[in-house]
Formats: sequence, structure tokens, C-alpha cells
Amino acid sequence: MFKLDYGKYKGIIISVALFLLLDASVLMLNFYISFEIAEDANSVNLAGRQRMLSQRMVKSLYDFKESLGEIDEEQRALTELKLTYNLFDRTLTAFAEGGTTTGADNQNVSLEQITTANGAEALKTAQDIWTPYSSRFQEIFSRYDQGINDEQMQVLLADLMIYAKANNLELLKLMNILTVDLEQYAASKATRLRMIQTVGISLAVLNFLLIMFHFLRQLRESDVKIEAARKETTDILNTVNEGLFLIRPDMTVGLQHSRQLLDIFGIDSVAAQPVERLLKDIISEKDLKTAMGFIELLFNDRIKEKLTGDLNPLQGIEVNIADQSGRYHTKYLNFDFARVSNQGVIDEILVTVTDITQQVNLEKELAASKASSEQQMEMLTSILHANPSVLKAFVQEAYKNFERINDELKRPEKGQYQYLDKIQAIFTIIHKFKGEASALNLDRFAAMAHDFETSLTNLRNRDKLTGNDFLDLAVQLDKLFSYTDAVQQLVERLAQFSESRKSDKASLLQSERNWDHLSHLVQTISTRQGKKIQLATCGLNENLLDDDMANMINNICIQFLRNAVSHGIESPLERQRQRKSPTGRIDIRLVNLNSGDIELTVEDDGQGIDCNVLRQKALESGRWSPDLVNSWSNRQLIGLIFKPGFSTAEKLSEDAGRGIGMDVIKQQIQGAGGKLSVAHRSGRFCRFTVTIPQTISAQVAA
Amino acid sequence: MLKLMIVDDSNIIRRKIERAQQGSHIQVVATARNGNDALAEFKKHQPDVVTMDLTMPEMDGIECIEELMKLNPETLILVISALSDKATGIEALHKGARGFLCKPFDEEKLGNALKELTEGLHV
Repeated sequence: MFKLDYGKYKGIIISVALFLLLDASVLMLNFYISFEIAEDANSVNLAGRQRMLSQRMVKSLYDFKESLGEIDEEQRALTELKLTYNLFDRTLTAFAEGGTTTGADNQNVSLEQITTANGAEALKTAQDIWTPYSSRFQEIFSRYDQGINDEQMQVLLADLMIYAKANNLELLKLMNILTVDLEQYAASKATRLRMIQTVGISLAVLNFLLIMFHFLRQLRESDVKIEAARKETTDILNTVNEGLFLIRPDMTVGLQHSRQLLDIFGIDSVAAQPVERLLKDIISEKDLKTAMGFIELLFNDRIKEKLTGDLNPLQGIEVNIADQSGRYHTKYLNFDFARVSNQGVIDEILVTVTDITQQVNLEKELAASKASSEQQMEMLTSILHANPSVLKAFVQEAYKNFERINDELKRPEKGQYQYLDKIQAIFTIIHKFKGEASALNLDRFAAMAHDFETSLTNLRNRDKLTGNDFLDLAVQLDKLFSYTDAVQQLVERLAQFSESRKSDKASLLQSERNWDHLSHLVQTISTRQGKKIQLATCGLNENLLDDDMANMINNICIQFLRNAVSHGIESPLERQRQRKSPTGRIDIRLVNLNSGDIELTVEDDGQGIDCNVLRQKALESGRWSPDLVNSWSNRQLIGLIFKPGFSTAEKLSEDAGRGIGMDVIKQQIQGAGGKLSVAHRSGRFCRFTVTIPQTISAQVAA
Repeated sequence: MLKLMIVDDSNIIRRKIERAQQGSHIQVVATARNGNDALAEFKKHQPDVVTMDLTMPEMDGIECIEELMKLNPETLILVISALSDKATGIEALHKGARGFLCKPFDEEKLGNALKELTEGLHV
């Protein structure tokens, strides 16, 4: 609605009012003066008539004198004389004192008293002359009425005529003066009028010019202001980083918008287009429908704008926009809507479009890096739980294992049989590694190794193998390498903080080794298998072992423990059926023999070794002829436990059942020049005894 | 005092909204756990303001808004719903609700929303 700003128009209103006032006063003054001039003309006219009357009076007097005796003539001349006398007398009095007289048209005319110096003086002199003059006339008129005879009349007339002769010219002169004076007076008035008119008109013109100037200046100023404002708007629209535009109630885009809008949408023009067309090509049909519904809501003044923000369907919306070459790019745009209201009426909706693609991508990257750091955290957690020196040994061992796998992979092979050998060799290494990782609760290592094993198993089950089939293994190995690198870096960093880091000599101290992980391993595996087992160790912490020996003992213990938990100890139910404690027991004993050798015993109170099962498995494997298998003694059957690729476990798991592990132990022990023996009693116990020659001088801990 | 009716099938949400109104210029006069209850309570108490959940058993929020608008089109309805589907929220506003508040909400957010909703209304 238009609201009149009085302040802005004050100047022009005053100017116009002044202009009108000035014009009106000039007009009124004009009217007044021209009226006066008309009166003056009348006076001048009457004064001129006085001049004439003064002479006519004398002439009438003569006429009357001549006509005396002729009764008709006499009467007419007297009437003429009286008329002339009365007219002169009345007009003279009217001039002198103000009053009415008879005009040329026999109408009464009022006259102002003459006040000009010359006029008044002339009048006064004229009256002085007139008074005796008049009284003589009066006498003649009254005597005539009384019926005076002609002779007497002649006497009176002679007397009057003497007086008339003496003063007639003087009177004419005075009336002349009066006329001239009145004429001058009227002329001066006219001059004054002209002057006033000139001044008034000049003032009016000046005022008009002032108004014009003022008005033009205001117009120019406001034009400049409007132009400046328009330029600012244009500058803003050309500079802002957001896409700005207005939506009109007919759902079309307004005429003005920011330049950035075109860049964001990758189009040439949007002005006056329907909003729907602007959005149609870049968002899905469903989103478009929702968006149009939302915009309609914004034009509904019953709905509170602040309570609609949550519904904006175009916040962070994914759009596909074609560039000039027609290739589509995925962008993320934010549309913000704000009502533009005037006096409570919603005129337009202001839309702000922001390209948040970078922000969204950054968030995605952050999420990825968060996932990665979570993985690292998990790694760190498992590493923190492990014993540092054991972990260090594990990593070193891991590298060795991977190198061996790598060597195996690189070795050229001829024929299928060699491929299978290769798979077997790699399987042996990775399975051992898996067992160690599992023992140390390094779940991710264990999982990766398990995947590796699965790949190997798949390969083994294939009919025909080529070198290319091993490529996937190389990739997996690479992952294992890089993960091990990461763990090693962490281990090294941790070692810097580790308070147990002491001199090289001190590292030999047995007390710094911790064998708790073995209990943990038993706990983990037994829980997984639904068994209850208690592990007792003896001599592990009391005997000094060098790193190599400790590693070997560790490896042996892990394998035997896995074997004992998986194959030896029965389920709690089975144990109860056999009237045994539901909790199984495993003993590890480490003894420094007098010979300097080390004897390690791992004994469980489980079911012992079922030679029939072993025989059955041997038959099923098909690797030996049934006759041969049936001819084997129990001792020979137990020997199968240490054959590669032989397993008795029902289920494949990371705890047991891959059919190797025990063979690796046997190889290691033999490699170190040690001996391995097995003793068992069905349903009672199973005991593995290992004797290893001590290579480094060992001392019993104080 | 403005009269408020809370319509939500969750007991926890109803209590939360109720608690948020204590000491304000709004008085809770009725609560309802579905659209049918809401209509009955509405007729009984004639509330000025209604908070409305959208997903409810028996009669859903959209239908309930339509029915309430027939009874009194000047009722101020605030939709309080989870933001799984914006289109449904927009539909609710087209049906006559005046505003939308997204679950989960805190008391301050709810208080501000109701203040905005009842702004300019004579108490």
C-alpha cells in the first residue's frame, strides 16, 4: 500500500501554496485598483463637467436675461439655469465633502472627498467664490418665484452678471486645476497598478522557477538514489556465492536472480520460468512433487513459516546437472526458503541455493577416515592387550612366514601335482600363523589368515590350476604385509613408552615374559566350543629362556593346547556322563633337565586318543590302502596325528580341523634337534612330551 | 489459558509434551492415543491447540486432521512426527495443520514451536 511521505513533499507543497497565495493577492489588488481607477475616471469626468457647467451657467444666465418678458422663453431659460446651477452646486459639494451627485446618465454617483493638496485647495478657493455666487442665484430664484417685476429682476441679474464676469474665468480655472489634479491622481494610480502587477507577476514567475528547480532537483536526486540502489542490487546479485532468486505466487521465477544461480544449475536463463521446469531435470519426480507441495505451503499464510523448516525436502539434495558438453555431474545442493512479506501479504519466496558438494564429499571422507581409524583403534586395542615382547616376536615371525609364502608363490611349478604341493606348503605356513594370531587375540590377523586359508581350500578343490589362479593369493598376501607393517609401527611406538623396555641383557630375564596369553587362548577356544577347561602352568615363568627358545616353546604350547581343547577335552555333558569333573584340565610343565635340555609336557585329562577314529579317518582319506591301514598298530595310528593334511575334527574352525599344525610342531621340534613323545590312556588322559636341547646357557631364576 | 490436546500413540511422548507445558500459558485438557480417541476428546473439550502424531493405529494423523478441520477449521494443529517421510508431513500441512515439529525434540524446541503457533492469539 502507498503511504504518503509528507516530509519528502513539504517543500513542494509550501512552494505551490505560496505561488497560489501570491497570485491571488496580485489578482485581488488588481481588482481593487481597477475598481478605483473606474471611480477616478468618473471623478475626472465629473470634474470636466464642472468646467463646462461653470460656463454654461453664465450662458443660461444671459439666455434668461434676454428672455425676460417672453413668458414661455423665460420659463424654459429659468429651468435650464436652475438645472445647471443645481448640478454644479451638488457636484462641487460632493467633491468637497464627499457625497452623491447626478451622473451623465442621470444616475446618482457617489464621490469621495478630494484629499489631494492641489485639488483640495482649488476646491476651497472655488467654494469661496461659489458661496456669494450661489447666494445671488438663490435670491434670483426666490424673487422670481415671488413674482418680482422684470425691472427689479434686471437689477438683480445685472448684479449677478457683474459677479459672474468677475469670477467666471477664475472658477473655470479652478475646475480645470481640479480636473488635471484628478487626472494626475488617476494616472499615478494606474502606474502603481502596473508596478504592482509587474512585481506580482515577477514574483510568481520566480516562485514558479523555484518550484521547478526544487522539483527537478528532487527528481534528479531520487533518480540518482534509485540508480545507485539498482547498481548495488546488481552488484550483490553478481557477486554472491549463493544462487538467489524469487518465486512468485504463480510459481514462476522472478526477473532478477544472482549470477551464481546459472552456474549452479548450468543453464543460460531462468527468469520468468516456472519453478517446476527449473527443478524437473535435476531431481527425481517424487522429490519434485514433494518440493512443489512444500513451496505451495510457504505461500499459505495460515501456516507458520518457522514451523516448516524441518519439512524442506531440498536440503542437501543430490542433483544431477549436465555441463556444457552434456556430461552429468552429481552435486549436492541446499535450498533455503524465506517468505517475502509486505503488510502481512506474502509477495514472494526468496530462495537461496548453496552448492554443498565439497562439504558433503568432505563429510564422506571424514566418515571413511573415521572407519579406518576405528579399525586402527581395534588393532591398537588387541595390541595393547598383548605382551609387547611376544607381539614383537609375533610380528617378526609373521614377516618370516609371509616371506616363505612369497617364496612358495614365486617358485615355478610343473604340473598339477606341484600346484597342490605348493598349496599344501602355503597352507601349513598360514595355518600356523593363524593359530598364533588367535592365541594372541589378534582377531584381524586371524580373520585375514582364515580368509587366506579359505582361498587356498577353494584352489585345492579346483580341477585344474594355472599360475593365474594364485594371483588372488598374492593380493591377499600383500594386504597381510601392509597390515603387519601397520602393526609393527604401532608396536615400535608402543615400545618407546613401554616401561619394560630395558637393556638387551635384561631382555633375557624370564620374569618379563608373560604366558598369560596361553590361558587366554584356552579360554577363548574352549568357550567357542562350549567346553570348560582350566589351564595350569608350571615352570614357564621360572626358567630363563632365550627369545628363540621362548618362541618355540610358545608355538608348541599353542598347537598342543589347541589340539587338547579341540580333540582331548570332552564336552561338559560327556565328562559328566563319564563321572568326571565338567571342567577339564590341561597342565603345562616346563622342566630344565639336568642335562641342560628343556622338557615340555602338555597333558590333558580328556578322552585320550581313540585309535579307532584315527583308523577310520585314515581309511576315509583314501591316501592309503585299507589293508595297509588295517595292518597299522596303535602307535603307527597315533603317528598319523603328525602327518600333514590329516585331521579328526568334525568341524573346520580356526581352532582345529585343518589337518595340519601338529605336523608343523613335529617339524620344528625335529629341526631344533628335539624329541617328541605321546602317552595316553583312553578316557583318562593324553600327554605330549617334548625334549629340546638348550642352546643358550640357561640359569634358574633366583 | 489455551487448551491443548495431545495426540500420540506413545505414552512417553505424550508425557513429554505434557511436562513441557507445565507453567506455560497452555493447559493440557486431553490426551489421545489414536485418531478415533482424538475426535471424541476434541468434541468433549474443544481444545484450541492440538499436537498430532502422524503414524498411529486405527485412524492416522492425516485423516484425523481432516476430521478435526471439519469440526473447527480454526484449530491450531502442530504435527509432531519422525521425519521418515517429508511428503507426508507436507500433506498434513496441506490438510490444515499449521506447523511441523520433527521428532526427536527437546522441551525448549517444543516450547518455542507452540509459542510460534499461538503467537498473536488472545489468551
